Amino acid sequence: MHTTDLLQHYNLSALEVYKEMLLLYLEEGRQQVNSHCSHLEPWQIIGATFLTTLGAVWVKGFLFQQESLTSRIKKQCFRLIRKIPFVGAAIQSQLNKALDDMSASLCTLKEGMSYTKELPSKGLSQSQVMDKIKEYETLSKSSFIPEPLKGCVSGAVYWCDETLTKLLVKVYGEFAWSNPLHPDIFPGVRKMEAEVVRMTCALFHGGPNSCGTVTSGGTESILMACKAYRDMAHERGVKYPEILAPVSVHAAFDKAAHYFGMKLVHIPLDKKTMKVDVKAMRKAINKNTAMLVCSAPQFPHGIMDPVEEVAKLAVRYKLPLHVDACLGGFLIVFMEKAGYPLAPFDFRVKGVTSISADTHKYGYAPKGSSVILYSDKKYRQYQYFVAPDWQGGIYASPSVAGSRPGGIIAACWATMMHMGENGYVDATRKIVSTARKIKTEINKIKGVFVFGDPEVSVVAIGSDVFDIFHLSNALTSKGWNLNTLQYPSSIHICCTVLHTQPGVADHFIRDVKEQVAIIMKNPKEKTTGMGAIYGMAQSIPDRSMVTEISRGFLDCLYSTEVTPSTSHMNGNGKAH
Amino acid sequence: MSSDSALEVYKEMLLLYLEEGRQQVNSHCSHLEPWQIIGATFLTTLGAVWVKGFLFQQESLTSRIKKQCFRLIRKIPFVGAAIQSQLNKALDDMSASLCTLKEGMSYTKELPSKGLSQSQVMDKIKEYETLNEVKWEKGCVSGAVYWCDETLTKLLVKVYGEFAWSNPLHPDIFPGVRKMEAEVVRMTCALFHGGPNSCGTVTSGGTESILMACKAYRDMAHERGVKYPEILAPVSVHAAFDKAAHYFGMKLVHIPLDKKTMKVDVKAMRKAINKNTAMLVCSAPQFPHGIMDPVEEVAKLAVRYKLPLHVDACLGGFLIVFMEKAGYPLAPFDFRVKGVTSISADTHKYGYAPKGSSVILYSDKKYRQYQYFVAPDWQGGIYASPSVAGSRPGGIIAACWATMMHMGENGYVDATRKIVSTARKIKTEINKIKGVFVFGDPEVSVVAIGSDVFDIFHLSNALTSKGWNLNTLQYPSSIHICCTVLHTQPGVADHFIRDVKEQVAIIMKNPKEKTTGMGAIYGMAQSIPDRSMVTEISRGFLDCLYSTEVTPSTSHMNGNGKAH
Repeated sequence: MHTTDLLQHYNLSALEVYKEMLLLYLEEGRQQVNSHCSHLEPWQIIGATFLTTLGAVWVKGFLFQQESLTSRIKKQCFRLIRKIPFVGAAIQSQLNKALDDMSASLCTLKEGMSYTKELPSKGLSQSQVMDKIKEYETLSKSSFIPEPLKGCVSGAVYWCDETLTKLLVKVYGEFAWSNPLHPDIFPGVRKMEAEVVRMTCALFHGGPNSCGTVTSGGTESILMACKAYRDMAHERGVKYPEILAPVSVHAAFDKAAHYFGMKLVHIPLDKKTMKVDVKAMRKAINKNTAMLVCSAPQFPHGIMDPVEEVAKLAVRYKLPLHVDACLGGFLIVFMEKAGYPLAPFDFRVKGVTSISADTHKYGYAPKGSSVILYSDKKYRQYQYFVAPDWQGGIYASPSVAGSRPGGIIAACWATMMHMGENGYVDATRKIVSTARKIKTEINKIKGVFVFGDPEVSVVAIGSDVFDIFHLSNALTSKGWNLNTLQYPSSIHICCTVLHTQPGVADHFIRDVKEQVAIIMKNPKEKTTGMGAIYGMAQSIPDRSMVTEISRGFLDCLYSTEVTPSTSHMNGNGKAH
Repeated sequence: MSSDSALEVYKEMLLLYLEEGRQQVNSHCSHLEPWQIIGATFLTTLGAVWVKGFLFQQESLTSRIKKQCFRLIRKIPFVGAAIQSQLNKALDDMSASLCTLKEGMSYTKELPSKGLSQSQVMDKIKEYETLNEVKWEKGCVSGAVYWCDETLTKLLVKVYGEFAWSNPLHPDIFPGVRKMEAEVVRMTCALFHGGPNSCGTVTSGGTESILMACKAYRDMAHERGVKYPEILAPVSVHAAFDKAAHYFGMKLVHIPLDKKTMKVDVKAMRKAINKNTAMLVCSAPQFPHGIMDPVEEVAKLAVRYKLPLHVDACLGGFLIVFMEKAGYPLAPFDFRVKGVTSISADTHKYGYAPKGSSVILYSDKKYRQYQYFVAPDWQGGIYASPSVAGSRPGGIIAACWATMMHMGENGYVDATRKIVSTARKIKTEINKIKGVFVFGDPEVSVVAIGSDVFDIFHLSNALTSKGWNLNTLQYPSSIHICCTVLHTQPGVADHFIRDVKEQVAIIMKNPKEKTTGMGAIYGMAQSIPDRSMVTEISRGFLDCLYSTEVTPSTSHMNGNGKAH
């Protein structure tokens, strides 16, 4: 009792001292200010303060924008460099040359083929159309275009079974004219869509409140989750919502940030495991944070992010957590039953509020369907768009599109019903065992290594000894179509059912072994061709130039000018 | 000389006032110490900056105050609870009526543990098809399905099958689909009289086409330093522009229509142009009343103020380009009009392609560049995508291409002639009926009906009970029919006109009678001042779409928030 009194007394007196010191300083400051301003008239003081304050507000606004100051300065510098007469012209001519090369190599037609630029004045008959279609199909059977069905392409096509194809084309035909925008006219498609969502919820162990929507693809699923969390952040007064996502996360999050006026904060990976650095993520959380993201698995190296640890952060800071399982969602849910258990990644983990999974990848449905799931209906509400005042009636749409192809949803539903749990588990077992075999065998090869410990279907290969794009070139010439990655340079193979065909994996491993052995004889040799372009594209400091070339690439896709062709190019900016 | 001296006088006066102001300020502050002056000015300035930021936001102050008021009302204990219980009742009613299954049917909630065989799946599909109650093949539905010809269906399903696994994201693996997409764009450019620099992309539908145009013009506005870009669009414009504004952080400024013609008021649009304006919009034709906006006049504004102009022809694009050849000339609306920089047209409406394709066109490549998205630093490689989606269904693009090739110009012109003549007939005949009128002078395929005498939703109810599925519109209340090839079947139009005549005659006997059922709900939904409640109910409607709970059903409801 007595001692506490004494302590209090000391505390008080200590406070007194501080207070007095503070007052002293304040008084001194006051006098300083007053003496500085003694020769000024009051109106001058007012004017000066007014202008200074406005200036300070402007400077603050200028410094702290969504895009960081350094990034803006860098861009401005490069913009200025491009304006220097000689340098700018030289750069431009180089760019134009690159674009011309691209258009010449990308849009090649066979001898004698031409583009249709106008509607035929008289419609073609059914058989005429089918004949023309044959011509178009020959384009993909030329010598250097890879045959996806033989399993030499990474990702892209995930299944190609005659029975399934026949079935889903039949189902598509039944629903070709249907459109879920009109649930009263097409109630069957509505039921199918609801069931696709419900079945997927069950796969990811969602509770009775779990829900979701079908979208047109992984990008739309990711966009919708980001849009929902942006609107939630806006509601609690955040002006510039931020997405915290691993560097390895899919580019669709960049797109979402760009579309929805958000800022994507990239969290670095652990260099060894390629999993996101959870500590760095914790440090990046601030009052603007709208959502956290994990990938399961991520696209570049096929690594599962530590969902459980990030979920703990999400719970602690009361933030939504999106698990992006677009690529491997329909593998990971079956892996336990297939004999390859994983750490928990779905709604069983407290803190996970949404999951995206593509039915058109390892769900084996035809292109154009994906699912976005939420742990609770309250999140999905923010995804919806409603225009209550539209003249055309109250407008309500669940996702990006208004009209949607009901036939694709029906085909997706039919695929899931046809595969069944047993079908998916079998396929998963085959695919994962193939990927594991490739991983083990590649790791044995001297000169190359596998990034982290990929547990699902993607295996990324790097090298400390030689330029990995040299190997990429070599494998391309052997007929393999792999994905090239950057930062760090690497290549990956994404195993699908096509790679589980007998001999494909062995063939791949053998080719890698042989080619690495050849390269290792002279590891410092310079890479040429496409490999060199990938390497160069990474090292260009002015990223706006890469953007410009990529835009040119997209322009080429829509070109209907016949260009004389010589060389070949392996596509650009592709994902699975 | 005199002006010089006048200037002198003004200058002296000004100095005098300034001097007086200075003395006033000084005398006011004479009792204050300099630090106090500094502090007060500093705080006042900051306060003023804050107030300015608060007053001038993207959403107008009045709209924010209104919302806040309604939010507060909802929080008053009794009132809030009463409103909530009413809302819940409406939602329950909706879920009960919307998601009806037949006796004995249930929802599949889990993957079958053993996959179904092909024939088992097809049997199940039959079951789902029995749910259909609306016989759209007979032409009783407004819009929704634009063509249903056996030959075409067969052809496009075959083509879809050939390209079922293809994906334009991989042009190196699927070069055939790439060529088809490029050709669909080029053929459509030619239809809209685009020059050699005209270009575009195929999208998944009208909404995406519109989103992409708005995104492109937003990025252009950002580049010239506009922070809060604005879209100037007629009130009648499609809701996808609202969506675009919401998604991309833009502000949609609605321009009123001329009350008589239902065309956009060009003067009002000119007045709304300011330094934040990112784009102008016209519809050709607009969805609610099927009216062509005055594209030429708006294009003049676009040229004068150097603004991009988007012409939204999502609904009728593949009619209007053939109307001249079909014998129904229109005022120019396409790239022939100087100032038009982009056009959206849905191939999956009057292009008769299956759902999931539309085209967005630009007059020049420089605009399309802004639509693209490129992530040059992505670990997974340089990522470049032309539109919203990454992967896209190549089969749908192939089917769209095949449809266009199969129809040919002659096919489209024939279909257009039939559809437009049917719509014109309906327009003429409806206009003759006493008690109802047609909005404006619809030139294409949509005819909107209103009434000054009775509640038009009463007529809507009556026609629904006769088996017609029309669109209900609001602000002003009206209903419309969107004619498709299905309505050109013999007798359909006559049947429709007869039914309208009969039902109007019945209603006119007692025009003040109160509307019941769905019609009443539409009327009520319009008159609710708190629009957030309507939004809430609509969200509940969307929730219902995904419901897999079996609810006991009684009544029937005609959908909500639908468009063609």
